[in-house]
Amino acid sequence: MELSTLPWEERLNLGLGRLFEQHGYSKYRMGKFEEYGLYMENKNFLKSAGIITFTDMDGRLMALKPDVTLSIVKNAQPGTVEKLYYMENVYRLAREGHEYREIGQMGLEFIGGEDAQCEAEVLLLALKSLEAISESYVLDVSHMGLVSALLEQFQVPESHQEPMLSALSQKNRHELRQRALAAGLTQQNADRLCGLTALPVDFPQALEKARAAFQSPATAPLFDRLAELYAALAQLGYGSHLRLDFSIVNDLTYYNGLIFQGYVKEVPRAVLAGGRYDNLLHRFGKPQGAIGFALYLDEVGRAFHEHPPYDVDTLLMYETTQPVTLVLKAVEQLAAQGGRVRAACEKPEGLRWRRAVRIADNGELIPVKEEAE
Amino acid sequence: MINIALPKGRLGDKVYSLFSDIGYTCPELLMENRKLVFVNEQAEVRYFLVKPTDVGIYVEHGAADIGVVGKDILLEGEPDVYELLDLKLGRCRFAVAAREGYKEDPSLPLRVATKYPNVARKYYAGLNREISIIKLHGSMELAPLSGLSDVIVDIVETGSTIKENNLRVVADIAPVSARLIANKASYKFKGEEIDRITKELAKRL
Repeated sequence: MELSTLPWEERLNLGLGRLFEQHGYSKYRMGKFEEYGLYMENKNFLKSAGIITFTDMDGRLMALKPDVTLSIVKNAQPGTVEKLYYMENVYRLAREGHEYREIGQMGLEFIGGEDAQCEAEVLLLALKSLEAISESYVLDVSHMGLVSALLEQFQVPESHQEPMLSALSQKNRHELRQRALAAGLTQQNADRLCGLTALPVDFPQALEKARAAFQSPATAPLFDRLAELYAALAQLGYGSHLRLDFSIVNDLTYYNGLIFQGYVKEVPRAVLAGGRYDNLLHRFGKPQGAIGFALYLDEVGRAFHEHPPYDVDTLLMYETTQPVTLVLKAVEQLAAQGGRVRAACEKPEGLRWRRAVRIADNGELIPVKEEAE
Repeated sequence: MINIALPKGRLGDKVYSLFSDIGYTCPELLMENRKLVFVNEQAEVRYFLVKPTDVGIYVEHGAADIGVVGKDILLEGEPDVYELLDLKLGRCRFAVAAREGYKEDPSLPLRVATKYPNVARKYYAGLNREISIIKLHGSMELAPLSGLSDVIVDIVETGSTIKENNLRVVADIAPVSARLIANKASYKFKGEEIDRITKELAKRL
């Protein structure tokens, strides 16, 4: 079937769905609401307050889904491996906080995905998803294990961690230094920490620089894993799109390993975010690990929304006295050529067409002269 | 082409001269007129002159790649941007001020008048102090004097306005100065240029 006449957003959805299916993920469908308690207990995971709630017939407090991952994790069977993707609408408060919005979200979850192979696959699919959106894209990668090892290595007291992480996430060297010194780090260690806010763009170089900043032997395997993942993805030609960036910081209560964030040139915010969230599964009493990501398609849709100069390719004019089969056949013929067709007896007001034709009684299509303005 | 959001007014003029020193000139900007957008194709730069409180919004939404904004506005609005450099211009601080001789009554919620409700709320939440916020838009010093509030949370530069109105600073909240900020996606794709700007500006402070 010819898909080129579909709007860009729908072609993207189809393309991504196909990509995920090709890699063995199956589509997960779900209802629009869930018990509120689920979100209440994990409200830090959601990061956005403002859930739409209502009471059902049994008096239970329900919520319109603000998120999909929590439902998937809740329903996962303990110990199993499941590869799932979803295309759902979620309901959240807009960033500025003044109104609720219905947001199109797509994502995939590899429940039980634990080894390097699984991580490489998820990263590859994240890169391919970004590639499907734009020619210019970047995937920032970090590791929560490294960030927490660093805090441990420098013996940062609990109360100082949050402000330091927040400065790190803003690449805010001046405040990171102040806060590091206030937390009792030496000048030298504070410098070393600040160095992590500006790593080289080249992934292997960045990795070496970061390796030098961390001295605890516990982090060596984490760096080795990142190097291994990079090497595998670079082999497939994605090396230049990967960056090591410690400014992506996520909640340690849920995320414990690899984390990543994707950007495309046309959209001012991250359009993809994901990572390993074993801790979330453990909170639900499930022993397996999991890794996944979500794509924020509302931002993408706006940036790439097409404004075609015409509403239809062909406007087909007919007379009400002409036989129905004649008109129908002509429409089918034109549609089969791949364009969009609109049949009408009179020129529809406000419609824009590339060309207008009139159908003759013998089925011939005759160009209609446009009236001079 | 790099898009820079500058705050209208004195701070913007100072910042523009820093940018022009490092090659991003746009002489038209210094002329007296009512334009808000200034482009120099040769230097590959476009300036937007916006209300100081809006700089963070322009940068967060990617209308501008980078911008210069007071830390007060960053703390209040919390835009999702990178904060790359402290330009050390327009230095002042967030502080709590009260009437001379005022003694806090911990058994009542504290009435706080401020232009910066978010900053005030966060500060007192950190102290576990219950407050009620009275949002004002100017002449802050009047609030404790007229009995409208117990204290004010505001920006204090030299402290002379506070003193003249018989108030005194009872606590400091955070230092404030102009900061260079960058849009997160712009930083991914124009990072080299933004890093160069940051380094060059840092040299001139």
